[in-house]
Amino acid sequence: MEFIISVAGVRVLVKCRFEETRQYMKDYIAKGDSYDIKASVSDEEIESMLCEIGSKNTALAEKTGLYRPIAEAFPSDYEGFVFHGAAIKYKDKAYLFTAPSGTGKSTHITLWKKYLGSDNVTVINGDKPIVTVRTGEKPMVYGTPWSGKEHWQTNTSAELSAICLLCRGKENKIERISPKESVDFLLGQVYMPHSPLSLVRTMELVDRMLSEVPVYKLYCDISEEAVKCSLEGMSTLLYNDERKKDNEN
Amino acid sequence: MRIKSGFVLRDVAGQTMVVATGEASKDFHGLIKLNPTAKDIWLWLSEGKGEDEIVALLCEKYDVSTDKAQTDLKAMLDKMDKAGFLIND
Repeated sequence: MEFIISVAGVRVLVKCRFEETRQYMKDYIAKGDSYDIKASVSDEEIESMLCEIGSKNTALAEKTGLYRPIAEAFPSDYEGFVFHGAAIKYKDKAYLFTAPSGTGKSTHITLWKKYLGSDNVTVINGDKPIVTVRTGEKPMVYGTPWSGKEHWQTNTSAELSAICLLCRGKENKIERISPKESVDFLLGQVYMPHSPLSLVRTMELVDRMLSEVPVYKLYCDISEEAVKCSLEGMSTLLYNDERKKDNEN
Repeated sequence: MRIKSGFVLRDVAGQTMVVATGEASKDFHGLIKLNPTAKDIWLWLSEGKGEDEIVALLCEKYDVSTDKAQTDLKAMLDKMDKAGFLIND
C-alpha cells in the first residue's frame, strides 16, 4: 500500500507492506498526491536489518527502515536532521533531553508531566525527533512517528529553547556548558547520513544550531526537585509559579 | 602516503571534527576530534604534502624544533595508520 505523510513540513510518499506500519504513522497521514521524498524498504534491506537486530519481526524492521530515506534526505534538502533524544514542549518552547540510552530521559520527562501537569507538558517525540535549522527561522523540533518503545509522539512542533545533557546525580544541579564541550557527544546522537553531501550539511546544521541554542548539563535524581532544577535552569520560569497555576486548573 | 578518501573534516562549534562517508565509513563509524596541530597535519596530508614538507611547516607555524615536529608528526601518523586511515603508496 502507499500513502502520504507529512513530517517536519516535508511530504513523504510511504510504500509499505503492513497495515501495522500505516497505523504507526496514522497521525502524520496527509491529503493530496504530491510528495517531496519517496520512502520504501526493499526485501533485502529488511533481511539485513533482521539479521542485525536478531529478530524475526518483519513489520518492526519495515517501520524502522522507512525512516532511513527520510533521515538521508533531510540534511541536504530540508535543513534538518534526525536527533536521538527526547523532546518536550512546555509553554510553546521545546526542550531537548539527550543521554546515553538507559540514563533516564523517559523517567525525567514523566516527572515533568507529573509535577507540571500532563496537559501542559507535551512529548513531541520520545526518541527520534527531527531538528530543523532553516535559514531565516529559529531552530525547531518536530514530532515524527519514529518514537521508540514507548511510542511517545505528537504531531506538533516548537522552537528549540535548550538542549540538555542528562546525567544521573545524587543531588540536582544544572550548569550551562560551552558548545565546544558538548559537540562530540551531541554529534554522536545525530543521524550521520551515508551521502557525503548530506553528511557535510549535517555538520553545518549542528554548528548553526549550537550557535543559537544553549546547552546545559543536568545532574538529577527522580524527585520533584529534579523538575524544579531542570525547568528553572533552562528557562526564566519559576517552578513555584508554574506549580500554582497547574493546581488552579 | 595519503589519507583514504571519504573523510570529511569540519569545524563544529569551534571544535574540529572528522567523520567518514562512503567507502571509509564501512571500516570506521565514530567521530574524530582534532586539536589545531592535528587539524593542520590532516589538511596538509590531504593536500598531498610529504612528511619533510609537513615537518618544515610545523616548525615554521608553531616555532618548534625539527626534532619536536618530527616526533609529533610520527605520533599522529602512527595513530592514523593503526586506525586504518592511511594508504601507503
